[in-house]
Amino acid sequence: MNEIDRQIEAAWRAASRDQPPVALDDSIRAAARRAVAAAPGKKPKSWWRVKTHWLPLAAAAAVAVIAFGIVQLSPEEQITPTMIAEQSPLPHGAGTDASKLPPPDAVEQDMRRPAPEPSAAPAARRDRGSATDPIAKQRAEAERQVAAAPERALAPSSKAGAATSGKALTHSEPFPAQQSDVAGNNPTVTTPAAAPRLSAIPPSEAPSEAYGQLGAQTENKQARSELSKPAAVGTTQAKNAAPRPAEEWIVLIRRLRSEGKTDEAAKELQAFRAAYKERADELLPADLREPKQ
Amino acid sequence: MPASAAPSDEELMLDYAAGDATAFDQLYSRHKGGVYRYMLRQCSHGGVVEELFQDVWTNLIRARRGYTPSAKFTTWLYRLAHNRLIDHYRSNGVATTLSADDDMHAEAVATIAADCRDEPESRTENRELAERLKSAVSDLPAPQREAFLLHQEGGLTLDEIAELTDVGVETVKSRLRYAMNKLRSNLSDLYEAQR
Repeated sequence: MNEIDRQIEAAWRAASRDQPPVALDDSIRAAARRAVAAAPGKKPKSWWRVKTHWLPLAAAAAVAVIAFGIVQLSPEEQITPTMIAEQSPLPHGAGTDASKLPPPDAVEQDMRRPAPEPSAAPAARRDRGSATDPIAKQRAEAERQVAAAPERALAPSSKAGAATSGKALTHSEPFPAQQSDVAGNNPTVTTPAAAPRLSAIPPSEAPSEAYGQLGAQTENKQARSELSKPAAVGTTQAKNAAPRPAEEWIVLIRRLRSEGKTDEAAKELQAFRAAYKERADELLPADLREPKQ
Repeated sequence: MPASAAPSDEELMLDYAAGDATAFDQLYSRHKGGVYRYMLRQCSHGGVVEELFQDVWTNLIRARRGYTPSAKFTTWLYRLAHNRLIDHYRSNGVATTLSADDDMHAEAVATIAADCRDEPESRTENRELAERLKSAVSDLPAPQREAFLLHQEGGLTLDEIAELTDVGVETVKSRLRYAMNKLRSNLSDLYEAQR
């Protein structure tokens, strides 16, 4: 770049001093300020949209999860207590009060009934419980109530026991926990011994007793008559599952022998020994200690 | 106050994009004259220049959020002005002037310079020099004139001019050389008289 070029550039800088009109300057600056002033109002709006657009989805998902959980939990609360009540084990040697023993005829009647399959009954009830038939549901409900009925039937004067039993029926709590709680609080209620004692109650009366206390819950008479049969079956099952008192068993074995049913008598004697084990020989009279084949 | 303490054009533009209106005022004060003259020398109608000038800054305001300091701010600003001029030329059917070949105008410029030399009294007031210089620049071919104005008014380097006008650096260099030769030839009588 020579000297002339530098002079030309300097001359150009000196000559070219044009500026935009002041009014135009003010107009452009005002436009710039307006643009900036309008921006903060839009920014939170878009931020709010971005922030909240997922909330309806989250709410719907939460409702779906809660509904699914309720659906999954409710059938188990209806089935499980019944099954546990029917399968609850009874302690060894409980309930040997001879004064409260049922008459021998009732015992014999129960003994002649076929023992139910231990695993078939819960499965059948589970199937019934899952059925959509309202009568089947009522049956399942009645079975569950009858399973708790012996407590009330054996200790009707105990208000605490009755109140606890009523609580157990109105609330859907697991039966074993409730029963152990009742046994611990009320000494008059001995749940393991209740099953043999129930044999003294006629099958047609046991449900009536249960319904008498649950009348507020079940008012349909037709449903009561429908439900009396499965309730009796449930009582018998509980009875068969419990060990028979020694005296009752001895009477039965002697009667079988006297009737000439030696095979059945031997089976009962074997069952007696299996049930009482070491104490069997102490409890058995001398004529029954040596099994007759 | 040291020059380094002043915020750069890029920082001011980012501040304005973030909502600082005063940053725009500083930017505008720095560049309004250069952009205005750049457009004024390439557009004959004064009223149209103001309109185009306002459009350039309005486009800058609209595009503030998309600005990224990947290139020099002045390059971005003069690209906005360049594009607005192209649009104006196209809408008025004058677009061919920016793509004219340099050599086509060599003879015409020589003729102008000769005319200037033949003037009887071409002496030497600054006012007269300024007028002749402006006239000579306006007579330059559009590509040479644009390169000259970008270099003088915008302060852009050869690389930046090449990037802005989408041509090679050598082409820009050639255009600038031609432009200076023509201006020198046009105004040589004045400088020789000064000597």
